[in-house]
Amino acid sequence: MTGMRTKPYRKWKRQLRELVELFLLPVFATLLPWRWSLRLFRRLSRWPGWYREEIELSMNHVRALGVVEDVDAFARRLRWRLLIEHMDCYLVPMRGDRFLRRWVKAHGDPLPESGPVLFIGTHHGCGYWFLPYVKSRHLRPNIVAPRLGPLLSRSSLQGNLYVRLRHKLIAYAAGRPLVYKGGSAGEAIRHMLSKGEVCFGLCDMPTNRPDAVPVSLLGMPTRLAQNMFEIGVQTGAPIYLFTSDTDLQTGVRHIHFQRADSDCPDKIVRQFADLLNLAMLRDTSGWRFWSIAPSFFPERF
Amino acid sequence: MRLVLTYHATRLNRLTRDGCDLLSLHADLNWFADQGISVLPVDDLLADPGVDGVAITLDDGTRIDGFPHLHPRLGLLPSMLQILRNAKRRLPRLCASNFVIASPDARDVIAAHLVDELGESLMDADWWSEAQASGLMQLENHSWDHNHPLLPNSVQRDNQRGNFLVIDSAQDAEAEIAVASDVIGHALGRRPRYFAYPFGDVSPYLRDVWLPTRGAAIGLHAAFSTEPRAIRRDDNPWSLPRFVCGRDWSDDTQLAALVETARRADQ
Repeated sequence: MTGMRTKPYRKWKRQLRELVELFLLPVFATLLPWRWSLRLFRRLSRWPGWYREEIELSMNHVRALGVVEDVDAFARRLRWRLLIEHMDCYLVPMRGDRFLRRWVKAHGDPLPESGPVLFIGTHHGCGYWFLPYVKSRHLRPNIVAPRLGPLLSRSSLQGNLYVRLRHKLIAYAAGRPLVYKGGSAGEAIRHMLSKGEVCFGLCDMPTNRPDAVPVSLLGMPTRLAQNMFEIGVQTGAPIYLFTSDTDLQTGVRHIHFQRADSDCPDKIVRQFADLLNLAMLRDTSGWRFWSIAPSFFPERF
Repeated sequence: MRLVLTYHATRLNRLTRDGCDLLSLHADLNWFADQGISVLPVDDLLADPGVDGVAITLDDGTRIDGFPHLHPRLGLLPSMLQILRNAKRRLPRLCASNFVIASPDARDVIAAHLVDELGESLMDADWWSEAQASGLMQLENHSWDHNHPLLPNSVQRDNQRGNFLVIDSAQDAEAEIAVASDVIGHALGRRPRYFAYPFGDVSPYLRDVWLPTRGAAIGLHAAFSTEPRAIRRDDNPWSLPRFVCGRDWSDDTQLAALVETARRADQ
């Protein structure tokens, strides 16, 4: 009887938590000055309940891999980052050029003035600010995205609603509808690049493609798909790799751009992995995929 | 085979393997782990002439060695310490020697000149204690002021700057090396055991006269140049060779060639 009573209670509690995590808190935080919300999130990150499922999975995986010394500190930073990331989803479409000039800094290679350009980024740091930044440089990107998020897609109604809303907000921030992966996405990208348009994708994804390129992340062997890089090379479009991150001390968002050095997709994938490695070494908690680490490092689990 | 490799955290042309020593160190350490090559502290490498391994040294002692850093052109960077910490999982004996400049004034002047190129607080010493306590780095002596060309005044008796060959008297050597060991030892509670010649310039006076007679008294056991070869059994301990990243190798193939050449020379 007790079990029957607690189960609906727990489900209700979880749904309420998701409502707060995904909608109420992030939207409330957008109403505050960014400096205040950064501090608020730092305080809130002390509570271990935020994003509990993702945090617990991530903690288990980094512990098993031995990639961080202080797993509790890692978890707190990851919670802080997730709080910021969920807020950014709403904040990006709500802020204009003044916010961008003050809080977003770009580094690395200069960007071209017009398309075609293929931007390839990572799931380290929060990449939302890439969109308004390149838009401000008159490079409106077509975004290649998976249909649903890796964890949320398997979860609740709130989770699914959030992902759908997030995709709409991203498309709004980019000024273009999303291009969904799978099926003819590759052809669509090829077609857009050949028309001189700007495309964007995140390529540190788990893959079982036979032509995936062996690389290592934090010294652990894994493989990254090269198909997106191949499309860029085949169309002759300049490929710009980028990483982005929030400096948790100052609140400044940093984006580093680097033009691909080679016309060989294998070599570009390795250049991309080097950039991701530097970002992961600087702050391991910044990589969004620790919760699905076994898909990247199956031999270690 | 005994190799000593040198990295400079400030070699930051571009965030690629051939343009950034942070990335090179990370890749090289993983390559050594993949190849089963031991990476040892300098102490262990020099203690036994028959040992087979590599030691890692870092030169100039900048903040990028100890803390993540904001570079004006390249953005947020990891520290050398973070790279060593990550590699320690696979290389349990890893401990790098970091040759730092002792004079706070000299560090301030150099940092002020490089602020636009390399960012704020580049030569602060606030990372020293944490780095030393980490067990991943030992801080060693890279002279009082590097006799750096950017300094208005050096401790060299005629104020000749820009190379270390001009440190050729007991007075200059005391000011550049002995005082530096005192200051670093006082700051960290451990006197430096090794000295690295600034610019790789081996002054014959220091190598043949001053260090052999005075070195042990101030706690030094050996000194390093940047002569690009492996250590031999009959090497003068006051002028041990080191390879320099970016100058002597910049990828796995070239690193493998250094190792292969050193192993052949041993046979």
